[in-house]
Amino acid sequence: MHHPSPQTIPLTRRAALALVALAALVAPATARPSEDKLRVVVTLPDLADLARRIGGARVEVEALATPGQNLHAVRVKPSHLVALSRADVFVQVGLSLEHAWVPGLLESARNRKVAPGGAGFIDAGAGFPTIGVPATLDRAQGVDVHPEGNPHINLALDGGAYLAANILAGLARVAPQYADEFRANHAVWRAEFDAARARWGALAAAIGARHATVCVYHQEFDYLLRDLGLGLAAALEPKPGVPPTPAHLTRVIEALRAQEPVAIVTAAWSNGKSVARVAEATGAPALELPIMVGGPGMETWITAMTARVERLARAAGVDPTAVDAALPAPAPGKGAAPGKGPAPGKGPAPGSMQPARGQAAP
Amino acid sequence: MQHTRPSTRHAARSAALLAPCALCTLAAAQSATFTTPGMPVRATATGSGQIDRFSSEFNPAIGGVIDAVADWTDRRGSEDDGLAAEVRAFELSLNGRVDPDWWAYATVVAADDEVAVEEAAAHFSGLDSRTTLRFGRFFADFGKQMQAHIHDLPYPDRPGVLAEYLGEELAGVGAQVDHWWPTGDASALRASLALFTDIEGGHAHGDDEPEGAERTLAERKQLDELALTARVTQFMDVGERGVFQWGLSGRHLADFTFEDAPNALSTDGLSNTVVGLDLTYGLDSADGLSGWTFGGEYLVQSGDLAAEANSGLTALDVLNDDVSGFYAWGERRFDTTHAAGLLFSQFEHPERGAPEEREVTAYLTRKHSEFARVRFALSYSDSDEDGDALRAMVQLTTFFGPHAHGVNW
Repeated sequence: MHHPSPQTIPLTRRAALALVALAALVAPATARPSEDKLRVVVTLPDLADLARRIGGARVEVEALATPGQNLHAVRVKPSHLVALSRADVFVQVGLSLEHAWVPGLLESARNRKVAPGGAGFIDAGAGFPTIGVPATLDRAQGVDVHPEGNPHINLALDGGAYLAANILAGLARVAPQYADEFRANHAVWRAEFDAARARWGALAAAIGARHATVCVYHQEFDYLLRDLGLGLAAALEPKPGVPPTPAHLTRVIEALRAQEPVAIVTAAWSNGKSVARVAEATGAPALELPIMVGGPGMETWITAMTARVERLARAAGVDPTAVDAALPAPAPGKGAAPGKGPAPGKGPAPGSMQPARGQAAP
Repeated sequence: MQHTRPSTRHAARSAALLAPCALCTLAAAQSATFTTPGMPVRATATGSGQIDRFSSEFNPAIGGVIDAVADWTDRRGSEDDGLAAEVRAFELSLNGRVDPDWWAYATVVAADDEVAVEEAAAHFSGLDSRTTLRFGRFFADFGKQMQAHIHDLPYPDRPGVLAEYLGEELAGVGAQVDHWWPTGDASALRASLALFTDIEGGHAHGDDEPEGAERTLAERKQLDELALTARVTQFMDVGERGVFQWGLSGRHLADFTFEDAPNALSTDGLSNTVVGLDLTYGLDSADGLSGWTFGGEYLVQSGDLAAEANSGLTALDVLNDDVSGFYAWGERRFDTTHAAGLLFSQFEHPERGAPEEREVTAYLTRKHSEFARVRFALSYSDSDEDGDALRAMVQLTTFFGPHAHGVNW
């Protein structure tokens, strides 16, 4: 049997002692004074806007993704880990939109309050009536296969209302002492939404009457196109998540020449070269739409959606100001135009969704 | 589970009354109905007996990886030239939650007509803190890249300094404790400490076993003879889109033997240590789809490094010395599909005279998707011992199904 060399034991002990000392040194840095505000961490700026509006002065909100990022490929940062480890509430869209980076982050953050199943975990998109639910789950259908359907519900005209209702339910669950305050804040937001929704509905009717089509890069705007009555001529990605190939672009160009789409709708992260090639070959202009809240004039979910709707309306040959002129003026104290939607706080706007089953109604 | 027809109230009531009995029958049908002392008993009075169910709902996720390489080598002064193609490894992995606090995974790799369990470990995270305990056979937490299997590396091969000082893949059987702390709002520090009864850096898939006296570890050890790895690393936001990480790692073999089987020689009671410093910086574009990564590691190996038979073939002469080396790496991700990089490694071989070797590799990676990747690489190496060599290679790696190794950050 071998007897340890003199250096062996001290080295092992030294390493263990060093780790203990390091832990003692660093641990105090994690202690932070308790604050009255709920720490709310959300995945998208869209959710941040809604959480701020509903939570009001009771919440401190941090968004992980930044405007323009591809939501399927957000690079996780140390600050994300720290924020989640301290969070009281975590809000995601769900439906596998953030599945590439959120589950691992939640696992590593080790915060049971906001882990799936915890009181502070708000799966805001759960139960939304999605489109594009795959008939079979097969990687041959594409790389971005979402078993629950198209997850980009923050880009649906009624997506904001649905997400807001579930955020309200979640915040009220975590901090029931402020529930009335949250409901009041939500009612104010809802009135603004109803008014905007009525206008978007009028614009959608005008756009739909044109029977126009658009081409997209990635199928993230499917809800918006459907809600506005715009047809989908083609997608530059051959399958969701698969970058365009030269052969596929050639087929797309031929298809678009016959259909004459009014625009090639892109996001900030879309492949600019592919878009430019198709735009040049077909004459269809590229139209970049914001995929998240952020940027001048798009600081809130409602204003960002208004910007998208107006840009698509103009692309389809609809003048938003002309549609506005035809809208009846809202009655005093009412957010929605008469005949175009319900009065503030009186119920959902046309086509708006109810919260997910199993989650509290506002 | 019993389903009832809503239209028949009587039937529903009967079903409700019978449900507990039905569940008893179900449990009995799917586990042993009668046991004698000493028989395996899984379903208990309080347990649900799920382990015996025929349902596939709780099966682990199964995934596979095929890592194939074709290369052409021109080695000056050697007959080991020409073309070769091989499936460097086929990996089969399973992973799944055991219960809310336990997660387990296993990786079986077939390479060179051999099948080996490279990893089989369980993680426990039920301490309600940021601590993880790990047990089983797993890759040691050393440096930035040693936990990654070769097919997961950003470049085609393990950098020479890591392969030489630690092994192509450093798997061990033992236990590890791992904890992380926030160090401010935008940085965190993680530390791990592991003890191993068995840890040995394997040779590369497709490579021959190294020549000379072989290092072996005793099967049973005293506590102070256990091998040890430790790591401290801190990572922090740098601006809106950058992340910087530094790390200090150590691996200590407290007791091992050099065995020269052909000459029937051995010497025991040896030890050596490898310490490393790693630095990594990543910068992403605004959309997160492109960016830069720069990194490097500097390693020092000290202690009993090698042994060779003396001239009379009567004993092994042990080389007790220090050697060092490093690698540096930079990569540009152009988009989601294309990346190009440059890897440079320089190190002293742990041999008498510490001959040096330098290697530079340029590579281009094209990802057809998240699950299929082709990589082209050109390497030039210059060794004081073996001369220079040029190698061109194509690597094709496909991932089917889920892929998880329990790698730490």
